[in-house]
Amino acid sequence: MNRTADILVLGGGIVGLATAYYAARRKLGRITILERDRIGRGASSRNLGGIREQFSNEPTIRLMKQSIDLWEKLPEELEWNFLYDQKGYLLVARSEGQLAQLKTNAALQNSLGVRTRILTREEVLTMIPQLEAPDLVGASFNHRDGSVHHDAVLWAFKRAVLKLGVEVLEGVECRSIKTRSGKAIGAETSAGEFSATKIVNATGVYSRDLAATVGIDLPVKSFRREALVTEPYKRVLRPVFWDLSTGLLLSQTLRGEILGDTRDPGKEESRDLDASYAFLVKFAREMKLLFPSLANIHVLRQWAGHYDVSPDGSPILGEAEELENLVFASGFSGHGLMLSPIVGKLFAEMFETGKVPDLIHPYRFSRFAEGKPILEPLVAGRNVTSG
Amino acid sequence: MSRSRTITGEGESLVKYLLDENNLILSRSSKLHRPRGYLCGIGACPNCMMRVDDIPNVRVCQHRVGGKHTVETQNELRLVDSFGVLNALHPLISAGFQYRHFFSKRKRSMFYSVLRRVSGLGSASSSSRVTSRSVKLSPEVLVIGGGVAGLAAALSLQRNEILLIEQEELGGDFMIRWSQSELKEIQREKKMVQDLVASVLASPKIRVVKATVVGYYRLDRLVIAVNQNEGVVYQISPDEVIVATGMHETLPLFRNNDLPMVMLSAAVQRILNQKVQLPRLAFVVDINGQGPIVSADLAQRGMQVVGLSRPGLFSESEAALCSQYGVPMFPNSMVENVQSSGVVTLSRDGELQDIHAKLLVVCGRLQPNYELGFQLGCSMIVRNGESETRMEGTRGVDKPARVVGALAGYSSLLDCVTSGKVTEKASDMVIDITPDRYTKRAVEKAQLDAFACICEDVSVKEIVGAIKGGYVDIENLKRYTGVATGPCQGKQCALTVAEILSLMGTGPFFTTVRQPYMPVAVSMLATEE
Repeated sequence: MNRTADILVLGGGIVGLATAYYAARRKLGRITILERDRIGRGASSRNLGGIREQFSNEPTIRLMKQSIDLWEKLPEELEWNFLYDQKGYLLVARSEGQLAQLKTNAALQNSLGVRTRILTREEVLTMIPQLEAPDLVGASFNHRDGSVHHDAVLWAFKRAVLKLGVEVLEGVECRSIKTRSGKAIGAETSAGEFSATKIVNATGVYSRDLAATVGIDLPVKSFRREALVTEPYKRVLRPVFWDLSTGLLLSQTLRGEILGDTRDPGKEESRDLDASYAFLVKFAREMKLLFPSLANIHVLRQWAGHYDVSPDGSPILGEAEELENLVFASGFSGHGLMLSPIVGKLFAEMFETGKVPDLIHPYRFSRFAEGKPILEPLVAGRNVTSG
Repeated sequence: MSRSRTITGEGESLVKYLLDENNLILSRSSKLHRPRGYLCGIGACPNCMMRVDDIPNVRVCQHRVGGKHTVETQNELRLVDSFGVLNALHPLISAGFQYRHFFSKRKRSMFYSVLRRVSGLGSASSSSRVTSRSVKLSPEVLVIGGGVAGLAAALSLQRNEILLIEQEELGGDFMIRWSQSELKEIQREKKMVQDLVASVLASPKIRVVKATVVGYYRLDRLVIAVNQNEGVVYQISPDEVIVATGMHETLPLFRNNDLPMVMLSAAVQRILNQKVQLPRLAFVVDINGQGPIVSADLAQRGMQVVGLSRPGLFSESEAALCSQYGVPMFPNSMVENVQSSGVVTLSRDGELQDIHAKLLVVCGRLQPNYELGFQLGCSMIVRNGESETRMEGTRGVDKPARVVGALAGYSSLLDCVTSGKVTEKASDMVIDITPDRYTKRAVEKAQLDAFACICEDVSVKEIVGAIKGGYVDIENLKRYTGVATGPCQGKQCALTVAEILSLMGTGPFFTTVRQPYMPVAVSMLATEE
């Protein structure tokens, strides 16, 4: 076990792994990942694997456009097939207000080179004939969006970082950040002290606790999100289906199972990882209403995970002003997986050049104090634009 | 196109009409399209799922007949299946192969189109099941499981409102097997169980509901049970819970253990009770010790039991019983392989012997039904040889349930009954994962046609390979190979996989238990407000 690193990554989820990967590829010295459980046992293995560039704000659209470019190359680069399927995301509007918002978003996306299309009611029903929604007015669709098998992504990155000489230490819990003269110099853990030149806080919902150990108030909150999976049906649903009114989201895997979630009935901040009956019933009612011909499908299991949500729904990336050498990568608000390649790559660039890349700059910690939030209402399961 | 049959009847489970001595095939397995038949009879395996009245994935062993029904086999590719093409491709499409190949965009694209076309069980239909309704109940005590321990617990509780939920029939495993048996050796026990059942039915304090408990939801403080035949969802808020969910048999590991001619003994006894004509020529494999009494019962019902195999020796009384009913014994032997043409290959002292038999009755390794206990906060003691570890149940449960009966580690009928009476004592669930002879041999030989997971067609060879490849704990192994992620959610494979992991992997050995306990249709869950 090496106790000194050039880059110490706290958190062995997808964000931590991607950061370590791109840093290692740039040969940025000794890199260590500290993970308190096993790789990916937090949000990284509990999500539905969604990857989309359909966002409402310019910085994230730009980031995700580049991230998808990276995703497209990653299977060959990592020599692992994590079942990346660009089946498209269909965001369905059932009111004129929702459609108007989608049109505004699509126009913004188009202006940045993202080829989202607005579909008419007829086009939506052609794409998804099983949908029964009399109030359906239209949808936005992007063929570059899609999904991955989240566990396979974790294995892919883990294999790759190990091959590149990154040290991955599982079962090591970080207790606090060590500082000296206004700089972060390491971490205090359950396995003793580690020191490093740069420290990345990629601990998901726990990043707030860790920040507090050095007096930094990281404004992220943990929200419980639930999901379920059904038995595998022969193929019925091609794109990822997302209904803006209810928040119902359905994604059929290549194996035929339908992954599903919906806007959660609970609203309190929570770190609880138990599933609820209220969620199951809400999901079932919504699915039965919108897809009566799929209502015979059996639910096999349900589970819960967390989103670490920032005040504006966009990630907090970069060093804290009060403390040098501590880099935050939190507050992804449900978009950690999809953003991880581009964030990892840009962080590596940042570590090497010492300059904050333009694409990262908007996500600085200080944006809240400056009154420049990056508002992103399109967060699955949370408040979504409605008409 | 699938074969379609029309069945007419009233009141019993549909499977009775679909089996006879000439046809044991009910379905085709998900990946390799291997023929599958009636295995467990209690909804704990994927084999009996068929398309009934245009509704896919209906477990015909649970589905109640009411009039006329159209039944079709699912997942068939007639020509491909009759030549066993997919099965022959098994070495190329073994567990995890999809991650290790097709990296380029073009290859992935081609692979995905193939995968989308062939994967999936059951296709959507326009018929929808009856709308379900919910019933709210708030008993003082809920007893989950109407086997002997559950019955005894319900009778001995000093409470006024007792709700007992049983999925199959009162008397549980005992009555499923022996309710119609005329074997004199079990008549005394049968009378005792019948008396227990009668007392429960006569008691004004006990309400009996036929349903399957699908989960305890800590956050909602609700126990949810469903009866899909009736279209009812029970939302139960008990003050206390007693878990008496018992155990069920699982398939041991030998070559071609998944063929339709292989049936678990409780399922065989049950289907014979329903007057189904099974192939007469039967061979019994004894793993859990019930071999002799089960063989005697089968012989007494007119089956020709051509042999009883056990990895160890038979006691004097067992030998006497066998000879009384004309059952040839094969001590110190194990089943190596079966062939659907009617051959069972035994091995004894390194020698192989072929025996002509058309039905292999397995007195299988018993896996405790621990899932609901976990969710209700009960801990489980995991025994492995001489060592014992403890797995904690869900944390934060207000009042953890109490465990009685076989789930608490009691083995004899009388002990289970007694344990039910002593209900003030909190017990832990008990599971023994000491690898048995079949598992040890399977891991040594690592065969491609000895199946540990029949939902996803995962063989011992693939599991051993995955563990050696670094997927050493259950969470990673499960996600990589697919074990415990199919319709049975680990009911057939959890214990077997734990045994294998204890031999060559690391803990944790059991995956996190997730609701629902049984697959439940979306239409059932979408109860009216």
